[in-house]
Amino acid sequence: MAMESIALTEAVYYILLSLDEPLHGYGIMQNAERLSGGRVRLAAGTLYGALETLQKKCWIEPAPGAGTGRKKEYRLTGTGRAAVRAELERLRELVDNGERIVGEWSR
Amino acid sequence: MRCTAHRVFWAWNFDKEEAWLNEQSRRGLALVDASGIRYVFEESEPGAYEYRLELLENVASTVESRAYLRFLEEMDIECVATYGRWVYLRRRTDGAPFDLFSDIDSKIGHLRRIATLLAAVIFIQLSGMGCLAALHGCPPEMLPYAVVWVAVVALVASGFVRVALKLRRLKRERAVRE
Repeated sequence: MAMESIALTEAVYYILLSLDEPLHGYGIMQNAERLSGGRVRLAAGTLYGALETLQKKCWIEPAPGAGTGRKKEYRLTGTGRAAVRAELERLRELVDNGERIVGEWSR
Repeated sequence: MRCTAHRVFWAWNFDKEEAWLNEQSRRGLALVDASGIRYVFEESEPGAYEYRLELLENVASTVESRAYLRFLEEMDIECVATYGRWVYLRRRTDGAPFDLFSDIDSKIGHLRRIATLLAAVIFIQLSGMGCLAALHGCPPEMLPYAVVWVAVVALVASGFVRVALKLRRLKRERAVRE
C-alpha cells in the first residue's frame, strides 16, 4: 500500500512524534514546544482539529484507561507509525538535496 | 462587583469584539457573561485574563461542541459564555500569547465558518425579498421598508466582503507556508 506522498504540517508531525506512548492534549502541546525549542506552539483549536482529523484517518486512537476526571489520552496506531516513517523519508530527501545544492552556492 | 454594558459588534468584527474585551480586562473588568449585545463584567486584577471568540461548527449544546469545550478546559481555557454557535473563551494570562489557531489551515477553517454564516444570512434576506416582490411587487407604502431591508443586506454584504478579503489573503499565504 503506497502512502500518499503529501507533506505533513509541522503541527501534525510533532503531534505524531509525541504519541509513541499515550499522552493527553496538554502534554502533546508541551512536548511539541520542548522538541522545537519553543518554536512550535500548538494552539488549542488547531490541536483539537488535528487530533480529530488524525483519528478519522486512523493514524491515532484514544488510549484506553482514561476514566472520568482524567484527561483524554491518545496514542499512535500502526498506520500512524508508518506515516511518520514515510514523512521522515520525505524530510530526509529535502534536507539531502538542500545541503548538497546549497553547499555549492558561492553566495 | 458586577457591571453590565451594551455594545453592538457585528459577526464580521469579532476580532474587534475580542480587542474590546481584552481592553476591558486590562482595565480590571473581566467578562463573565455575554448574550447578544449585553456584556456582564466582574472586577478582577487588571490583565488577569485574555479573551478569544470562536464560532463553532455546531451550537454549543451539541455533543461535538461539548467535547471540544471539555478539551479546551483541559488546556486551561475556560468558556465564560455561549451565544448560539459563538463561544467566549478566556485564559489566565501567563506571558505566553493566547491564540486558538496557530496555523493557517485552522485560521482559514474558522474564517470560512463565519463567511458561510454571513452568506446564509444574505441568501435568506434576498430570498425573502425576492419572494415578497414576486408576490406583491413593491407598492409605494412599502418603499421605506424595502430601503431598510436593502440597507441591512448591504451592511451584511460589506461584512462578508471584509471576511472574504481576509480569507483570500490567508489562502495566498498558505500557498507559500503553513
